[in-house]
Amino acid sequence: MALDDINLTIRAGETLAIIGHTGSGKSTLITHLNGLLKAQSGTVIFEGKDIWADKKELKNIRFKIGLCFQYPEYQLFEETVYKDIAFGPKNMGLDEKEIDRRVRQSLAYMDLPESYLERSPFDLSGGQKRKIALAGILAMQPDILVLDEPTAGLDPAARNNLFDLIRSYKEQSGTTVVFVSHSMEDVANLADRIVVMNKGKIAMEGAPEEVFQHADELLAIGLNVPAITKIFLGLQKNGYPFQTVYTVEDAVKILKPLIGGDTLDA
Amino acid sequence: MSFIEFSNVTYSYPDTKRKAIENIHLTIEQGEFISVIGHNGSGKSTFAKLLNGLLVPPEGCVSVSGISTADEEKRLNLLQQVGMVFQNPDNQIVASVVEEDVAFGPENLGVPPEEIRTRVDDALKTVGMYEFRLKAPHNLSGGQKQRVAIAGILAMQPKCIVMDESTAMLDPIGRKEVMDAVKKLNREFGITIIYITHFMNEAVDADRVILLDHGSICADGTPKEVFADYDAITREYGLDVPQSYELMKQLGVNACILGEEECILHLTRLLGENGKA
Amino acid sequence: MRDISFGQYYPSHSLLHRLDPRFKIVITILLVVGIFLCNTAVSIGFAALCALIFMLLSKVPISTYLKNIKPLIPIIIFTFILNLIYVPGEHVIFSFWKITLYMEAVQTAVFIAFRIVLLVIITSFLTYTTTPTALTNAIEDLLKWLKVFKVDVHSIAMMMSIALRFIPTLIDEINKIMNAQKARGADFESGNIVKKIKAMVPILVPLFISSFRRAYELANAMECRCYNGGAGRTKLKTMQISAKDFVALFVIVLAFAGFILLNKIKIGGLF
Repeated sequence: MALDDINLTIRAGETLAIIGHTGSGKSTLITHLNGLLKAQSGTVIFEGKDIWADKKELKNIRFKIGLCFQYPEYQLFEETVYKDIAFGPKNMGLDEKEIDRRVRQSLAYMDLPESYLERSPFDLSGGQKRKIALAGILAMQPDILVLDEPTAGLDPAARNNLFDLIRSYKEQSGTTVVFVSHSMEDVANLADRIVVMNKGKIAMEGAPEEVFQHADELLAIGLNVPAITKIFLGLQKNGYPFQTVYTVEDAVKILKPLIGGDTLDA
Repeated sequence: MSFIEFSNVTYSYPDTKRKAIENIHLTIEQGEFISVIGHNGSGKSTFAKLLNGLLVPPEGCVSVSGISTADEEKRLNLLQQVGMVFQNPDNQIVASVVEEDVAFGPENLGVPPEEIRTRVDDALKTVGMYEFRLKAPHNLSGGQKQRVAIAGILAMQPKCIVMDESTAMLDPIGRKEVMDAVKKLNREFGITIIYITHFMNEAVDADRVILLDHGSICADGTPKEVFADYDAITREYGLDVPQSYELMKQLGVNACILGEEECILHLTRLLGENGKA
Repeated sequence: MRDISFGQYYPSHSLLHRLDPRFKIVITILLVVGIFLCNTAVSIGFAALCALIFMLLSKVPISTYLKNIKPLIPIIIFTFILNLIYVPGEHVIFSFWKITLYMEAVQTAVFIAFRIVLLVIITSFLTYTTTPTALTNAIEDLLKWLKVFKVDVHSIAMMMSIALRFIPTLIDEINKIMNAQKARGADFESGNIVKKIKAMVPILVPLFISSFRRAYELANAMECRCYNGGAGRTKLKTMQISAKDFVALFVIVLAFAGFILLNKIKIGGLF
């Protein structure tokens, strides 16, 4: 069974991370969110309504729950960046003026200059293509943005840049963000809440500080904790009664007062 | 004579003016484990393709075991000595059955059938994929597919394996499987590994790190030597550093610590010295 | 889409798996021709029996064979109805308005439906029990003589085997692209034929681009593994003819003769 007895609530405005190793059901779960797949039993409720209640409405659900798949740059097909970003809004039946506004706004969210609009998406670099594809989802102005491994295959600079853009987009628009990631460090830095998937079930759910407490259980299902958490677990073992941290920022807050800094050299 | 030698190598792709590789001078010894890092477009993949003669430099010379990659007659010999595993596992598997795919290289080299059989079985056992030998590759996980690809190279009995971002599309488990496999090849068979990656925690596992930027080598040395200049790594070269190093930096501790174990030891010592904990 | 299992090998060690692929191709051709020659209920029944024995001997679950028939059901029903309506004859069963149903039409319709099913079973037996590599090696070997006419048999065989290898990969890819475009509100179901064809563009463009990329990368990977055309290549599995291959061929020739002989027996003068 790909998914088994999933009960999950996504809260408006939160950033939810879904983690789990390949085949744990993460991708299947997110394709249920916008009705690309239909569960044999159970319901998906969006704003109080079963998304499958009215089949004609289903298409509109897809505009409200914007789903960006892995390696989204492979879905680009238009001659120009403009047309490609406009594909979603066009399918929504918006008028030219509104489409134009949304295309430009989405491009701005991705921090790309308007001169890109008339270029062919196929002439851009991998990281830029990814941003264009993501802009195509943002242009639908979804209430929930769902991202399946948004930074897969990118180099560190592009990875950090894309996460910064997603973060600032979220701050500006207030959109709910759900993302799948294999990088525990990224999850720790970005998520308000984490859902851990294993064998089609939800194995754990909670705030990062709760989930990353359970390092042993995460390791047992093929996952990990951020490197910084591992370091702190090691320090705890060596007799230091620190609380468990999961970001470098928090670690510095705890250690800085204890370690003089400047004067010390290795 | 070193195993692989680059002397003043410059390469630019036709129809671009920019030099993908510029004036590289480098030697690699048999049995080294080298990681190559650099942001996208820094010339890593071009560098990889120069190693086995997939690309031949118009300026300078690349030689493997004393054979120039420009030597057309020795082309197959070079390709056999320096095997390459690519990024997308789906695009390098030729056959529909695992063992037949692994046999592809030796078949091309004209190895007798009985010997192909032993080479295929040995290679699959080495990467831990023997029990999958009759399976269809498309049903395997990413990490398994890449291990099949490694076995396919191993069956050609190479002296060196180049991993061109071969873990970029894998999940952490798959990455570890692949890393463990190549470490084993390096340790037990003395195969030179050139490991191109975006993951800094993989890169710092190597004995030697080469940092490329704009087609030139900007740093070449042990992981600690290369990562010593924190500001250059994170700003100038568009890379990042392991969290343990980041932590040290933010604590104002002047130490290039790349591994978690080492970090724990170092912190324990520092906390002990301060005696405040 | 996901149900397409054509060209997929089913690993097993059955007798049929171990037969020489060249013999299997010849056997398949004989059976295909045989099935076309069958035109009585008895001979078609005999052919069905042969197919059943093949399915059992191959140790491939019968359900796996049936999966191959499933996508063809609309075609089978369509040809069945077409034959029923249009085949003329002498023995009228009933006549209504402009439609007259003849006994001969029923016979042709039933026979053709059976033949299609049997053909699918026989050809899928070949692909289930033979790896694509073995199959292409066999074709390469059987067509060796074409080299006299400067036909590059090796390259053709290699292309075939790569095509078969990439079928599942491309099916996955199409599904992924379709889902990605559906998530942007693409609609592949509604509208007239022109609209539907236009709706394929967002799938076909990415599919072509990725196929070219795959082809380029595969060519590189093959070069890295010392591929240099067919000259000087050896094979992991050399094809070796053994007694069982001749026995199998002999049995099939007998069956073939059986089809022709049984064609003489007609039930009720017509079937």
